[in-house]
Amino acid sequence: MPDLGPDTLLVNAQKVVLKTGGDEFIQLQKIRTHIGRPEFREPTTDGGVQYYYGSGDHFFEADVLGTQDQISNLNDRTERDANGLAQVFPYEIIATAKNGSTKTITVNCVLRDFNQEAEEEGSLKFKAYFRIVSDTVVVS
Amino acid sequence: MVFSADTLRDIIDSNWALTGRLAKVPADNMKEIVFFYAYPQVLGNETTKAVTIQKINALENERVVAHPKHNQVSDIFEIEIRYRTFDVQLINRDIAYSDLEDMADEVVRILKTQFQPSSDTGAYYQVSREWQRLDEYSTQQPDLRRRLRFTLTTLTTDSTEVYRGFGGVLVYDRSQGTGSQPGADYEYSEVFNVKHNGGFKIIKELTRSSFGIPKRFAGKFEGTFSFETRAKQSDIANGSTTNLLDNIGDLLANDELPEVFLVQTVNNENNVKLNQTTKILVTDFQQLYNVEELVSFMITGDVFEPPVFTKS
Repeated sequence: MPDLGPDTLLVNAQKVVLKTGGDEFIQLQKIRTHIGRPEFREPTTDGGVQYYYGSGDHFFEADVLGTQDQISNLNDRTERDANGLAQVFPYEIIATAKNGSTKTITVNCVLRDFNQEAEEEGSLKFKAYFRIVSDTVVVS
Repeated sequence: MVFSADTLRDIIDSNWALTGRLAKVPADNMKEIVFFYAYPQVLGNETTKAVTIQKINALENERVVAHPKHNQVSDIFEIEIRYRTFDVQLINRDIAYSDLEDMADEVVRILKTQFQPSSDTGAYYQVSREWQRLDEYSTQQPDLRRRLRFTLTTLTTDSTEVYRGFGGVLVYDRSQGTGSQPGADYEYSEVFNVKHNGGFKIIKELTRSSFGIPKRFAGKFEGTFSFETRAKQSDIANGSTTNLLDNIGDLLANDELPEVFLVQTVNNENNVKLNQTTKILVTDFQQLYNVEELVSFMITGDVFEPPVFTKS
């Protein structure tokens, strides 16, 4: 039986990148991806509990150092179209392992929250929340 | 910094303030005055009262202890005080000894006014004086002779532009600070070991654009200034002005610390002074009452702006 999680497939945090349409967010600092579903817990009279699960409740959050160009680019992605619907864009989260192999999570997302934080000192930072709108994500 | 025996002879001659029998200019009823020489007297033809200065080493050839980045240079002089006793009667010998001591005291007084290491303008961090007695009693008029070995030591480098750590002055600048100001700028005359460090903090952020090499963002200025001083009665418990060490870190009526402006001045061989003005809020006041040491105080402050450097 092979080991699960061999050393050669460890991933340095800096080797996790975020792309959209083939373009990389090179000032990305942190990315937190959540893959999950809502859980419904139903107790029964026999003492047991039945669990039910809903459609995908996936999202990822990204911290990016603020640059002028992205203020407008990311803001544009928060706007709705003429029909009042949020715009969906494709994103790729790519992890490169020590051995050089890559694994890509491909998702379609709405940029729901786009926060810009400029604190007392340091850099301007963007903190964005991307809602993954599909029930499943594609990993290749 | 080096100078010749002639120069020191002239300094002693021009500052000589004794009068009467020990004056340097003739007075009424007095025939023998004090002479000043920068070369040995001729044997058998000596003047009866003389101060003779000789330099052991030639000019520009001082005693030098060379280090990689500095030299410890000493100028060595021998100052001989000669007084010929009138005769061997006790009363005249008493007068002679008394006069001889007065001449010696006068020489030391003059040397102190010119070459004291604690002097604000002193170019020497070490000055030594050692006396020798060379009296000769074998004649009818005994010669009383005292030889002072006078050594001036300083630090130099190959560049005359390098500033010295000794001979600096730290002044409280009343014109810019807040709090209760003294009537004039105040010098902390016993200060030593003044230290300052400061700079802008750098906030580093790592992104995916370069592996391991962070982006840099300049943050707030931070710094510390400190100085030590011998505990001097004038500097403490001597009023309510902010310059005094017991007040300098006290809260003002608005519950804020006073802004204190200190000017540190140091000198170099070119006599181009470097002035550093530092703005601080005093955050610490140490008192060091150590046995077998002079009592020392140490003031430490937070530097809230980059210091300003000027030359004068």
